[in-house]
Amino acid sequence: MTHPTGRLSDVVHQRHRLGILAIADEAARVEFTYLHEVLELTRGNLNRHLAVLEEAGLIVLEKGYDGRRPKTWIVITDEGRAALSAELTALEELIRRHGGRPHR
Amino acid sequence: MKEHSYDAADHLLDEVRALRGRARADRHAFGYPLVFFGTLTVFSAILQTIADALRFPPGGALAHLLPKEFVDMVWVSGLIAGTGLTVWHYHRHGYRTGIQTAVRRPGVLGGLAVAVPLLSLLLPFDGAPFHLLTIGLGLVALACVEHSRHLWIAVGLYAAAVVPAVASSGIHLYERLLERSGLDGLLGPRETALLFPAAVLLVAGLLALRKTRP
Repeated sequence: MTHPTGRLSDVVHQRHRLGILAIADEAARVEFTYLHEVLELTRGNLNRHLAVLEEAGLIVLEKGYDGRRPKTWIVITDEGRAALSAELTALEELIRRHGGRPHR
Repeated sequence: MKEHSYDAADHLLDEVRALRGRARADRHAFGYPLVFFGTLTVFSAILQTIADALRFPPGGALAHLLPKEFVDMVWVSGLIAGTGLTVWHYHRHGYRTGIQTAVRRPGVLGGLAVAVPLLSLLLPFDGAPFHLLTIGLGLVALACVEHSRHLWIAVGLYAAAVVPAVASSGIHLYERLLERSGLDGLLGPRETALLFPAAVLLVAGLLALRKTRP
């Protein structure tokens, strides 16, 4: 059986990207400014993380307007949900191997 | 990158849990719908009481002023308006907070569109009891998309309050409860039974509004 660390994805495991996916998984879609506030990231950093996740096919970006203000909405894809679930399972397995008791 | 200690993994999972909890709390917006449907139930109970009172004496000048069909129409209009307002409210809340609930998910609306007419054919209820069951179905659909323990508790309490309200023996139970508290005589027996599910909706809705992100 593979060690749990072998199942951690380089794309998803980064803590901010994991946070983006966890939040997006809780909603139909989430706005850029919300992620910027909750994750306390600069706009540039957040943009870079979103680009990595979008390139991996884990999220989709939807551009729109609220009146005249441009808005970017983030939607998690089925692949994104699967990757998030696999990452959390691997982390829980890692903790279990060390005798801890993880719970989601 | 892949040399992870137990502490790091545990810390990461804690962070994910905290983020999920915050996102869920920010997304929740079920307070106003509960208050709306609670108010609709109380209003309909009062309207029904007035309609019943106007029917006496039979054949009197005011007997046809508030027919049963009008009270039913108020119920149905209220339920349709409430559903539309709930979808609009969630849309607006999502835009304002930046995190949207999948309240227009086709499965949820489709399930309701099938379940409500089906129940009207299968169950021997009409009037207020049927409308209470329709609200109950809507609440279950909302609880499914909200993933809220608070809302599921409200659904459970509402169901417990509705079962006696739709059963004739339950109506007597509610009457006795009101008699003991000295509040009997204000409304008719059927209308009194509506007040308990309405109270559950109003209390749960107002509590949720206190917790909702402004």
